[in-house]
Amino acid sequence: MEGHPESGVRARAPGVSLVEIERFARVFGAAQAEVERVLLGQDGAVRASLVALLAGGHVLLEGPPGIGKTLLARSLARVLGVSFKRIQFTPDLMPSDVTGGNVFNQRADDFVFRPGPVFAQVLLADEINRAPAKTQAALLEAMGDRQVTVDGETRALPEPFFTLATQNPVESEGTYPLPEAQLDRFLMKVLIDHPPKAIEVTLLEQYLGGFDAGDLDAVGLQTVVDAAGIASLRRTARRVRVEPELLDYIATIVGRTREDPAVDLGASPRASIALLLCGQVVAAAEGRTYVVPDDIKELAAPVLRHRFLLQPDAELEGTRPDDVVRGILMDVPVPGGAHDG
Amino acid sequence: MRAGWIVWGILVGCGGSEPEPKPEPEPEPRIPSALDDSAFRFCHVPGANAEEALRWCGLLKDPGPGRCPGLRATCEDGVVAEDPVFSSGCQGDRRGQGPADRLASAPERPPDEPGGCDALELSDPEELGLGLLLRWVVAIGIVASIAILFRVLWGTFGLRRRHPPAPVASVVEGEEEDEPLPDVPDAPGDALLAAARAALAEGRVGEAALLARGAALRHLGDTGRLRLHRSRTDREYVRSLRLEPGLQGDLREILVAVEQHRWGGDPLGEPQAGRALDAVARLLSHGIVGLALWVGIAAGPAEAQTPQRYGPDGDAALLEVLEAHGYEAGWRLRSLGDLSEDTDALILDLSEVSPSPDQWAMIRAWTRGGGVLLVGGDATVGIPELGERASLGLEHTAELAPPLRGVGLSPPRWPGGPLYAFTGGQPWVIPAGDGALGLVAVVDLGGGVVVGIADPRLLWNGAFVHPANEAFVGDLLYLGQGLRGWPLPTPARVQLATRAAATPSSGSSSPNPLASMSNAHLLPFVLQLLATWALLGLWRGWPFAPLRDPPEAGRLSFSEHVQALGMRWFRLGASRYASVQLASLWLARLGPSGLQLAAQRHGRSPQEAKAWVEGLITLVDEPKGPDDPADLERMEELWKVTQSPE
Repeated sequence: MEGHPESGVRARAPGVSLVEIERFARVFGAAQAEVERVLLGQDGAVRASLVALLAGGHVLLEGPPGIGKTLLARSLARVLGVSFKRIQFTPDLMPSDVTGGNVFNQRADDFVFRPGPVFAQVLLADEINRAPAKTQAALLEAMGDRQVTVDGETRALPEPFFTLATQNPVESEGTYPLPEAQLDRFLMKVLIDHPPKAIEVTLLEQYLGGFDAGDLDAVGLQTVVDAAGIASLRRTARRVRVEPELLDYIATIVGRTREDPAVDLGASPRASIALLLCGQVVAAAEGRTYVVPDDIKELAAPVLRHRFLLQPDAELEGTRPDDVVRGILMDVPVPGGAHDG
Repeated sequence: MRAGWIVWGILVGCGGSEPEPKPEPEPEPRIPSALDDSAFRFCHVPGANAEEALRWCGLLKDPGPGRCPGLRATCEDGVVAEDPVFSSGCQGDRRGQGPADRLASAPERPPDEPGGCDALELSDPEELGLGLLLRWVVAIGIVASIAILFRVLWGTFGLRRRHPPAPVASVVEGEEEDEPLPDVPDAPGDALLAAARAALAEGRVGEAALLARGAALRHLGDTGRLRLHRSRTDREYVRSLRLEPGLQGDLREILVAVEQHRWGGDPLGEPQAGRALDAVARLLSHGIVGLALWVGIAAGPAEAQTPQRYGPDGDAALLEVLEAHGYEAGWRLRSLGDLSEDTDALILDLSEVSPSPDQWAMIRAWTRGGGVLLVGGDATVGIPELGERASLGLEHTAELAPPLRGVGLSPPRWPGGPLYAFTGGQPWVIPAGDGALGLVAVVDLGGGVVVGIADPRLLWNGAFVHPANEAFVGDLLYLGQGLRGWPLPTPARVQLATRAAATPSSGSSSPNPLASMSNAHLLPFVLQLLATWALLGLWRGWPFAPLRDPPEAGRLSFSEHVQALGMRWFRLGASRYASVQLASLWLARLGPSGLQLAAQRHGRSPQEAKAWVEGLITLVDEPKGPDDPADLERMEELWKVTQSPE
């Protein structure tokens, strides 16, 4: 069968050593454990955020208020040893409030650029759908190109640049829903919800014990890596082995979103790339030098659910994007191995 | 320590019974007999089945003392041994009869009495204790298994109701159909394992690993532990075995090894492949234990309904005699009306089976087509060529007629002599000095043959106490094949229709519905049905749950997107269609009065609300019309009304 390890068709990325992978897995596991120490009951969101960060993407978090989105971003920044800023999006927020702008310095008798909050390594864009389209576009440009242009001058954003944008699924009045083209810039859309009761009780006990979400120093969160380390981890992940059959699997999954009768507009090739990158990070996080089909399936829903438009009648019937992804995953055969040794 | 417990358990199970007296060692070599099986207790245990066993004492004159010592002891005592456990009422009314009376009433086999003495005769105190213990263990195991299944089922759906979906779709638990995997060979697990071992022995390590994976998955799929589907990954298979950690560990070991080979390109070492094969072997043995338990559920109670088969009047020995003589013998469990070509010879015991006229016609047609029918009892109704079945009345001895003389066969023996003979057909065994009658008579019927045995006791277990009978019955068909060219292949496929179950029309009726249910022996079926139902529930979802509203998230997304949808429909030029659909939905859900009330709560006067609802009804009744911006307003109004907090 095509792509079998002994058939001569091999991975396209250069190989990665076991030592590098073990380091990746160790750092990933440590970072995840540290964040989960303060953010209880949101293991999936933590893992997805770390995967997105190490894949070089951004995350759109959708969930009700008060479940720890800010804490997730702050603790991530702390554990990863990078800077953190937060923007609360409101209808009157201007693009310059995000990117920064030139202000006149009387002493220097010149305009001086004052960077906006976007110049951070972990940025929390809270309730991004409450800002008007122009302001959203300013942020989304920064997310896509990792640079900001103000008054004709382009400034690069710091590396790594990771945005955690949030939106509330319940209150839709007075919001500016993100257009599909802009949603596509998010590597993942992660749905989070209230934690189960048992977790909530543990959380209350933590607060009784003196935990303060606003004071992460007191919690003693350990920094497990720094910006340079993150760049190194990203390079490691990119070299994780991917068999051609898996590329075909990814392309088939994404292609099916364009053929599904419930879908008006299917996912773009950017979705395929996102699935590939995420699969490589997941494999590395599990200490493997190669991607398996499970890595692709694991993150297919968060990577794809915001990247296609449902048909109006399907939406009217209550079909959700996750249903479509689920149906596609159940229909596409997992690539298998040959039996010729 | 454990051995001590086992011994203690056995002692408790035996209930302190006396040790069974061992028979004296055999001084001379003896011919193996079908009755050597300890299941034929009348033959080995003095006093066992004494009521029936005493009828067969006459056959013990010739054989050596090593044959059926239990029956010999029973006959020598001459009394019916009272079973200390089952003496109350179990010997029935026949206990008062003497041996002569019993012999006189022998030819018709006593009917089986469900739940009566026959069922109990099998058990002596030792077997009772151990058997009871084992049955209790199996029963508790079954109940516990079903309880665990239900608990898992409940927990699964309970969790699904209470917890939000995981943000990362790690596993898609679908409602998919089972589907063969393209990369798992369609062959039994053990065959694939053997192929894997062969590949490993020849140094094809990669192929061995892949075959091992196929063996494991195929076996687990065939035994119902995994749902094989083309969309499932190996790790999903491993995760789905979370309730069986032993199996999960073995499967993980196999699949991780294969995974490295398939996706990592790592050359697999022989030791690792060998470990994977060992894991497959363990996994297959797990399955065998599970299968044995499953079969045990069915076989345990089913065995309880056939102890009479091993009594002196039973028919289990006939099967063993035939098998010992090289026949492919088996019970016929289907109706006699559909005899197929997979049967070369059919043995009918008419003391148990009473074919209907239609069935006789079918049997005759089958025989004419080349079948060999060996029929014991009064077969003259279906095979009139056998003449009449005459009662002999006096004690006779049997001798072989010319076709069988000189072949080295001894004539068969009946206890107290044969009681009946046929007047027609060609006699092969005759009453001594009377060549006109046939104790065993042969009739050629078309391309086949009918062998009639007038006194069917020759086919019962007790008859095989005498080795001559065993040899006669065992050799009869092949002798006919050799002497007369009967149409029998070697080995011949013989079916025994010696039980009432073989023909529904011949079953004796039950006195009441409860007895009928008891006769049906439905317990294993019900247990298996429950277990299957629970498994299907786990697999397919809860089939009988009350209908519920869609989850909160679904409702919210539905209502909040109405405006956006309306715009999209309007752009598509179908806003009328969308508004009609939405109005229909809410009219169906709330009804006109409910919708009117909702409109009133939203601020309309009763008249305005009524007019508004009537407008909606009109819209639904006349759905066709041009698209109109008013459709959007109507949809928005409808949305606001139905979103009203009350």
